[in-house]
Amino acid sequence: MFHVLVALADGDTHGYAILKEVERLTSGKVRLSTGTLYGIIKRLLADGLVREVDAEGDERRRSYLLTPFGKAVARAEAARLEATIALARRKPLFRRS
Amino acid sequence: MSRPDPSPSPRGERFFRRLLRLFPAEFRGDFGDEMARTFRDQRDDVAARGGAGALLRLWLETVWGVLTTAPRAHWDLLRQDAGYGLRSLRRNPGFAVVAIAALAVGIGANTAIFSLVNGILLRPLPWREPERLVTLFEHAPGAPVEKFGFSAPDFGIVRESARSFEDLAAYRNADAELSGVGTSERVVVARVSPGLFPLLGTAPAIGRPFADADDDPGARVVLLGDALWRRAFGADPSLIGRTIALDREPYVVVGVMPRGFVFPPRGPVLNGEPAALYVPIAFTATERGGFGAWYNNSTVARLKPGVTIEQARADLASAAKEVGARYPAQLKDLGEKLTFPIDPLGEEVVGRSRRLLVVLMGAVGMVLLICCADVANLMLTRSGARQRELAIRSCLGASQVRIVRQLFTESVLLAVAGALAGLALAFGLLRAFLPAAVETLPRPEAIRLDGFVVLFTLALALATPLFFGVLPALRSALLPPSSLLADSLTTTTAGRARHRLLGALVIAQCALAVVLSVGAGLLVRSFVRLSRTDTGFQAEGVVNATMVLPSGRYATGRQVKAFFHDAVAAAAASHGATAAGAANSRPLNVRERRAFTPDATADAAAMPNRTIAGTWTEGRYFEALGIPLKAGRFFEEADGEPGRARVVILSEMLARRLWPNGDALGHQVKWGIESSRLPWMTIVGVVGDIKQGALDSEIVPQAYEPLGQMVSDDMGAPFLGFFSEVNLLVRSERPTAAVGADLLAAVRRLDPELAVSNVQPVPEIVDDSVKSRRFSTATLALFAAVALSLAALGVYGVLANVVAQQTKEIGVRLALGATASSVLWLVLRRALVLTAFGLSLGLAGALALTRLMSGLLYEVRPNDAVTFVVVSAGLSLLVLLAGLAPAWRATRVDPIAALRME
Repeated sequence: MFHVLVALADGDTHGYAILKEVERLTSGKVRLSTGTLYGIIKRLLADGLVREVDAEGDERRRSYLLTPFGKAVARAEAARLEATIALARRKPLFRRS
Repeated sequence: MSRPDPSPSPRGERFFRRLLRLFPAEFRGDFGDEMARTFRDQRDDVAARGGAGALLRLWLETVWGVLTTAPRAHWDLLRQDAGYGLRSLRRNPGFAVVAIAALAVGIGANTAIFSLVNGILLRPLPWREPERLVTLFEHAPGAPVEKFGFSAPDFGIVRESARSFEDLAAYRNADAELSGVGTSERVVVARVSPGLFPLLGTAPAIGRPFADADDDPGARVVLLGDALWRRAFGADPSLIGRTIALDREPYVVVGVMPRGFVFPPRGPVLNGEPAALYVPIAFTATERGGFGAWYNNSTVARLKPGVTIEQARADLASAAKEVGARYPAQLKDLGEKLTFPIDPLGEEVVGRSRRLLVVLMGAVGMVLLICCADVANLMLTRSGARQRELAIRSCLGASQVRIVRQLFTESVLLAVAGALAGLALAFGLLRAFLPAAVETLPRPEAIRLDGFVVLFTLALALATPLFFGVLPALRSALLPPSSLLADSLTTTTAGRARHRLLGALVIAQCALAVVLSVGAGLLVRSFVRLSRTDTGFQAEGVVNATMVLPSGRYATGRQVKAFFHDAVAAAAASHGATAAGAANSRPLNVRERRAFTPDATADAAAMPNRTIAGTWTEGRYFEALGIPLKAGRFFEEADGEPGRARVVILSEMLARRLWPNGDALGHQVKWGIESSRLPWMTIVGVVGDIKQGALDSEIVPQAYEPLGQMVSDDMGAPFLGFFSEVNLLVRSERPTAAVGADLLAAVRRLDPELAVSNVQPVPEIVDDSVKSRRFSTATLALFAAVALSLAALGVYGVLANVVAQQTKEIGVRLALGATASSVLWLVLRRALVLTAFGLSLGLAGALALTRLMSGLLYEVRPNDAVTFVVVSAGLSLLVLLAGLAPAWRATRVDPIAALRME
């Protein structure tokens, strides 16, 4: 779910672009299927983290945009992950060599 | 939310669209087109870059993604609906509690009865490949019973000549005295062919099975049942190889049967009581040669693989010829008539209970339908109140499917809650049923709430909403939202339609309640008739003590006779005794049937079947049991003494049939067929007829003979076995408990080790004989009472609703001068019209269905007019009572307040 929020960070994006962006960001490690993507989008819509907009240049197509609340949640999640990693880095096991 | 995509769909996309059907319709509506578009982009991209392998991978990932996401989407929706439903139910706790309680009653009753059906009828018998197990009987045209057990020689010949079976085994029950462990006790012992346990596919848990060498009258070995081993011997494994005393003779314990092993099974008429221990059947030479006698062995056989019952039947027909050929010349007539009916063992065990269980299952099914109608009523009434809420949801864009789904989810929630409560109720009901079931139903050990029963309950929980939830849900969904909104504000056509629907449900409830009540009423009437049935004797104030004389201590006729004589004398001398006697059979359990022959003066043609019941008595048996003397005299002390003329007393039925002019006294009869060499006996008395079996059994002709005359001093086994059961009867003015204690003490003085079973007041014996009918009657009556109450509740609910909805109309009527009585009548008339429809339907249904019950009734016809009239009157009265409260409320409507409601 976080990957989708990150993929939407640059502005409104349609479904296929989200898939590609997630794949690009993770160097192909995370590949979402269509079903999984729209399951996530439904929940993000229901929770008010994203909203629908008409896609630029093709009004039959829909794009998704982070709401201010969605942006805040994405930032908070990134900060939480950062803090978690920083915590782990204090131990030699997780230090970068 | 999404717009259609006009671009043509290639085959791949069509498949993808089909795949999307796995998602809820709502999800598809929201995202279907978008997903199709995204997938197309993805596919075009992959096709352009990667080729076939990458395309295949994309498809696999896509299918997998849909398969894993779709259930989650359904689950989300369900959770949402359930959450909404729960909140809605919580807002209306009264409705929820009543609906859940009604469903709990319906589902609980069904679960309880289904666990009986499951345990008894559905669960296979607990033996290896039970479908190949069969039971065999003997049959002779004109015999007093249709099917009877095997005699030893017949069993031997059939086992030797029939080719359809892997093996045949015989068994029969006997009572034995187990002594040397605490106080001695009577136990049921099954004498079994050594091959029986391997045939069933079972073996002792410890120790060894019977060997062929054990099948010898001299071999004294015993296999203990697990329960007896634990109870009497503290589960001591070192018991194997040691001896125990059975009938005061030493038997070596060779093994213990596995825990839970029950044999013989309950259910069959012959030898239908589980045994505590097992000994080899070991037919004696006398038994093996006993053609024409002792037809008392049950037979179980295992069909060879692939052999059908029909083939076995044909095989047994040729075996019957062989049996007939080997009968001795003087019994040829009988031998050649014999045939050997065969039935699946399972059918013999549970067949007699099938009808009762089917009737009970039908009854609880009806109770459940009535419960469903009640809940549907409640929901319809409530849907009136909820219309505004639904209309607003509908106007806000909720689709009809969505609303139906929502309402249906609420119904399922109610049903699941009802099922959980019902499961608890069923558990309680079963605990209450089981003690009665153990005595009245076969295979009580198999009755329990197992996984399959829980699955059944779950299925009910999911099926019942179809009956009570669909109607209200559809009704709400099919009306356009505008009418819903309008209907919520005023009382219009939609409100009337709802009342019609409510009325139809009440009619259905009344009809079902009538069918059930008529069924229960017929059983109650049968039971009342049965309870009033004359046993032919005066049971009040009589106590019976049963004991069986162990052959080890009472080995000769002289010893047996001495015990009978001394026991009766001791009982007669006890404080308060007015008469004492003894016989070889318990009251209502005269099993002895014998052929007999009257002298030439009798009207022999009047009685072609010469098999009658026989009882051997000691002391003042007739006075003790209260059998009236019709002519002549009772036996005297001197009757039966050596050298005296041989005497006999006949039952009135027998005397009248043979000597219709009432002059039986002084004539003679003898035991056996005409050529028998047994001595003639002179008829000295005629006594009243008595029931030989349970209250619902037919009375058969009977003769009585003094025990001392029948048993010679030097009589030994096996003949003496027929006289070893002593039933000591004493009529006393004292309380039965004290009399019982006196009897026990008297017996103890004669033989301190003798185990006495069944010290029981005779009225209790009479009562016990109708236990199984009491069980079925009480159960069905309970269900009928529940059904009637629920139907009355339904009527009450509908009328209360009607009155509430018509407050304004009633107010106007009252304002215009209508009297209270006319308003009362207005409301009650509605109740009576509904009842009249329900009654007519119910009575027609009852006429059609109660025919199925004819086997369960006693001296009552399935179309018994009294029952039908009483049920009709009862239901009408109940409905009137249920309608009175709302009707009364209607008369109290304040016209001014009612008009202000506008």
